[in-house]
Amino acid sequence: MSKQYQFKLVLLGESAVGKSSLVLRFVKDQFDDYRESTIGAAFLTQTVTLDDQTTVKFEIWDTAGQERYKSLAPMYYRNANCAVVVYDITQTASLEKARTWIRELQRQADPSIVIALCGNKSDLSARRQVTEEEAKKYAEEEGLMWAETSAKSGEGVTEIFTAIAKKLPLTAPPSTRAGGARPATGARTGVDLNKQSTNAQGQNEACNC
Amino acid sequence: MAVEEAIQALLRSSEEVKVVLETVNISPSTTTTTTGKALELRDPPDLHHRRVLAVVSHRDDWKGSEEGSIFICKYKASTHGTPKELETQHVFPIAGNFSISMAQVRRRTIDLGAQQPRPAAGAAPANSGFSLTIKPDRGLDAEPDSANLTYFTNDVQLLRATVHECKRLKEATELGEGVSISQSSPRFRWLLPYTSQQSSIHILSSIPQDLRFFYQPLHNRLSPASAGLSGDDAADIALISETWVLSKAREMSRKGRSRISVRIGTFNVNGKLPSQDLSTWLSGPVKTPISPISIPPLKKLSPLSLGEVEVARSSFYFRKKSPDSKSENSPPSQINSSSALSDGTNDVFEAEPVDVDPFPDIFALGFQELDLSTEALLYSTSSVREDAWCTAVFASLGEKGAMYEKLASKQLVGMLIIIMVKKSLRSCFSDITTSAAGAGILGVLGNKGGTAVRLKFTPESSGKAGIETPGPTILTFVNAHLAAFDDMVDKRNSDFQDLSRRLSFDSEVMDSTGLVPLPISVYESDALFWMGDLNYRIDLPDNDIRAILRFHNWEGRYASLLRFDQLKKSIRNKQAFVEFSENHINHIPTYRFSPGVPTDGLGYDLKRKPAWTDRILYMNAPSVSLQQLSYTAQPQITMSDHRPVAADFLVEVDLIDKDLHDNIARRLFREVGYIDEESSERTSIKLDTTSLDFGQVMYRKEVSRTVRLQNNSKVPCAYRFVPLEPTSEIHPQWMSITPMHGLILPSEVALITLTAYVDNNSAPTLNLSPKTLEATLILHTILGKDHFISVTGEYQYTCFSNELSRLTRLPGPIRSLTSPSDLRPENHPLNAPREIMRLVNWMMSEHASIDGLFILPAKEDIVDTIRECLDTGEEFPIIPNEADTEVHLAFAVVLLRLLDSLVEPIVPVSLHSKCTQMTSRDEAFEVCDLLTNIFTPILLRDDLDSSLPPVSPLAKRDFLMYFIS
Repeated sequence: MSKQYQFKLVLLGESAVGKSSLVLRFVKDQFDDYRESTIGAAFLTQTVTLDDQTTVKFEIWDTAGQERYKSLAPMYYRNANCAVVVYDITQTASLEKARTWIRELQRQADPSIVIALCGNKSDLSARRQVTEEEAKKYAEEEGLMWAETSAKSGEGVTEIFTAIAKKLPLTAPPSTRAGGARPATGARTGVDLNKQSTNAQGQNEACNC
Repeated sequence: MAVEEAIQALLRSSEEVKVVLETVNISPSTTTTTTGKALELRDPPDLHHRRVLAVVSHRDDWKGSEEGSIFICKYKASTHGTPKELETQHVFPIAGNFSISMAQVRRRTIDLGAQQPRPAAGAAPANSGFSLTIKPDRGLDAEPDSANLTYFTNDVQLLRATVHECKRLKEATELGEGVSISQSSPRFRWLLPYTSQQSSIHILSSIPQDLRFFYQPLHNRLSPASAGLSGDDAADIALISETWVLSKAREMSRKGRSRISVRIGTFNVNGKLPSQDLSTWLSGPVKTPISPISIPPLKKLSPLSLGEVEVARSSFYFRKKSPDSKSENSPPSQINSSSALSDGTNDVFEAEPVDVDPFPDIFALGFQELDLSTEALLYSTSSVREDAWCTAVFASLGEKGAMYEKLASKQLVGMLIIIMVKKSLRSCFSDITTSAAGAGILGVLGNKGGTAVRLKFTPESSGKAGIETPGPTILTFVNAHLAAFDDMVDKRNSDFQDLSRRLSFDSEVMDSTGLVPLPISVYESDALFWMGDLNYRIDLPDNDIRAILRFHNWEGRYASLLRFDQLKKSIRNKQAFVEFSENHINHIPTYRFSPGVPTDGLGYDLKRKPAWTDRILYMNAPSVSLQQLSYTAQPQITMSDHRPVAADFLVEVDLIDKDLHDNIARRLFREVGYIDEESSERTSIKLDTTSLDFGQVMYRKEVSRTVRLQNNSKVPCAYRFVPLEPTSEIHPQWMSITPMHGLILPSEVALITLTAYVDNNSAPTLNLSPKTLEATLILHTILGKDHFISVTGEYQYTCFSNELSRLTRLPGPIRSLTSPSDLRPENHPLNAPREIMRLVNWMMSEHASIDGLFILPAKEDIVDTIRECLDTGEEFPIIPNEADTEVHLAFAVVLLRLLDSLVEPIVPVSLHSKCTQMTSRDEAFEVCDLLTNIFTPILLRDDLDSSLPPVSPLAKRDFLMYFIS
């Protein structure tokens, strides 16, 4: 029996650390040197195939990093199964901000949330301000996953998401759908202007998991 | 080339036409009638044999894949001119077992009896052509039972190009399968809009949308969603795009308007047979002696009619403003009253001086209690009574009766509805269906219930804007008789709900079993008229009603009674007739007059409370504009215990070119049908700004800002605003967003208007909050991003909409407050609110005693100036170039509105009944010493939602009288 999981993933972190670039690399395998600041929260999906039997579909919310939108973040990490908290290895302050996010998640988010700490811009290691040891040590203390990535070169990007995908089914019961708050995918596929899709919906729901 | 354009017109912009080939269909299955015969192909061939084949490619830049399909189209039959339009007959994905092959055939010897066209024996260029055989792939369920298809052409070059392109696309598709990135994205989804039947079914259906939907903003029908919780995006897209397509198509195919006049009459005849002339009831408004067009005199109402204004004020403001009249919340024409207290933003109803033919195009007459015999209840009786009434109606029309004919009628026991139309317009009416439902004894018998007629009105096609196929308008007329007796209001409401459900018509469409026609609701109309003896009474003591009715020279007497009308109350509480409109009633209660029983001085039966039992209400779609010209009772017709009621309407309908409409709608459906979750093309819109500042936000001053949305993706983008939390509001109460949802085609732009407007609903809270206004709006692009729009502003405090006690604790003008809690100590209030004293002092010192003070409306700009001075503490300016009268009137209006805006009535609701028990001036003085007659509705303002028993306005008036005497 093949298994398909669906999880809600949220990206958090200071402005300009590369959250959107990381997602763009993961979902589209592209990189854009001049990305505009995210004002809002972008929604994307990507499926990771773990083996012949198992696929994990991520529903990704890429949030705005700017301070003025901080109060909106809880709307996006509520019901999230996993969070990727991103910092910029060339900016010490961004790791501080990441710590703040992690504390907030540990306090406010779903207790079973899987948190990954992600040091982005590893291609700029010449300007490094945050050492691997420092970040890794912090991650271990807090029980977080940790990796360094480069959205620009692609290094480490697929790996961190795949690692999350592998960890999630172990922590979440198989029947769990993303957050439980979203409707089952069956109701969300296709555009049906006449709402005559009762059959199609039934089929889709039956084949979930 | 024309044929290529015709193909392009069928496709979305995301598709690319590779080759177009004109052919003749020679497939065996399509020519069964000529089996065994060698068919000579004529030159040019018959239109219905001609087919246009198009090879279409769809590239997905994201996936870097390409998929191809072959479209087989035929010409649409057209009665006029040369055919230019195509319709798709088959769509085959070029994949799997799909194959295409060509062969040479001799043109004049195609034997259609054979299963396959025989290849031509020799090369004979002048006489030969080529056949093209298509074998569809059966793996995909796009075309389940299609046999091989064969077409004839003599354009060998294009044929070769077709075959070549098909082969190339097949390879491309197979390549795409090999590198399939995501299994969850099925192939050929882009073909769905072409293969599914849904869009055409929808457009071609002649059933209008349920009227009740127009009153329920589309936004409320979208799935529940909030920031980070997208809801059911697929369903939302369907709803948004459907609404968008239909309104767009309607707009683009509208060629003008067509107008018909309708006279509705309702008469409970109490079992009597006609014995009087009915002409006053039947003749149009011109004949009424009082005024040429007897619009219910919408004179400037006195502030006593606050109740009407109350309703308008709360709901009307944002309804009125909705700029796109096509949107769901555009209000149907409504008659609104204006008064000194209204804020000037209300529309004042002004009837256009239209030249109305006193003889309407349509009569819809509803009778109740036609037959009171017990037999009538048990079995259907003859049409004797119906005939008698028809004869009387025609007789009463006099010689004009010859202009009319009876179009339809429906009787259920005592309820009869008759539709008569002008003979000259007879051909405009079609598809006439009727319905009846009992709601009486046991809930089904016909002593109570309703009968209804539904008809299709198609404007005369000739002349008007050259439309060959004008779109029809559905008119529905319901005649109902609801449960009787004073205290049966709940039963009346449930009768109404029952009839709303059970009065239905058979459609031409069968249900899934194919045996039962699908029912059409009375609400699935463009205009619905609901008349009848609805039996709603007045919730006031019997004596009060009669006493108030005796005040012949009090213009507000009907208004003051109607505030306690059970029907109005049921509408207000959303228990029945929700969203129906009823004109202002300015005629006598029509029930109950009984010859031979004791009556009061006005002729009303002493054993029944007088009431407006006989009513005419309506509902209409935004596409229909409805203007009510009269609403009258006929006291001269005294044969029954009820008086008949009549109303004239002018119905203006859109003149739609139906063919054009359907074509546009089909094209747009294809265009938007591409929004799809599984599609890898992502929607993306760009906002020109993400933060807006309203600047100073003042009470009753509108400030608007615009956000420009640009769709910079390749696919249509649907958007909607969502709240931050599932339970919170989308926007703060002090602002509005128009539109709240929409759809933008690729590279197109939409403008969203954000408007700040503070009224008595939002001001009480804002006056107690810090000045800074802040909000974040969330614009959700469906299947895409949540955009944040920050709005800011600085609220300017006002003395309006406060508690009286708070006004007495203001240290100075309210505008100078730095914080809302910056007040005088609770134990050291002012003796009286500074603002009220300023107004009163000014008026006393100016000896303002002019006619109509407090009653006549004032100029809004002067009102605004005075209010601003009260808020800022500045001196009242000398207003030049204005007559003193205008300034005096404005001061009076400001005073009234200020008192009216107070969060609580001056005399608390809980004291009202105590007030009315006072029997002398001294006693009354103990409660309050401020009241005068004109302040009744302000000082003793009704709380319509209060659980306390209603207080008689008469008793309140008496209370006030003690002060005056």
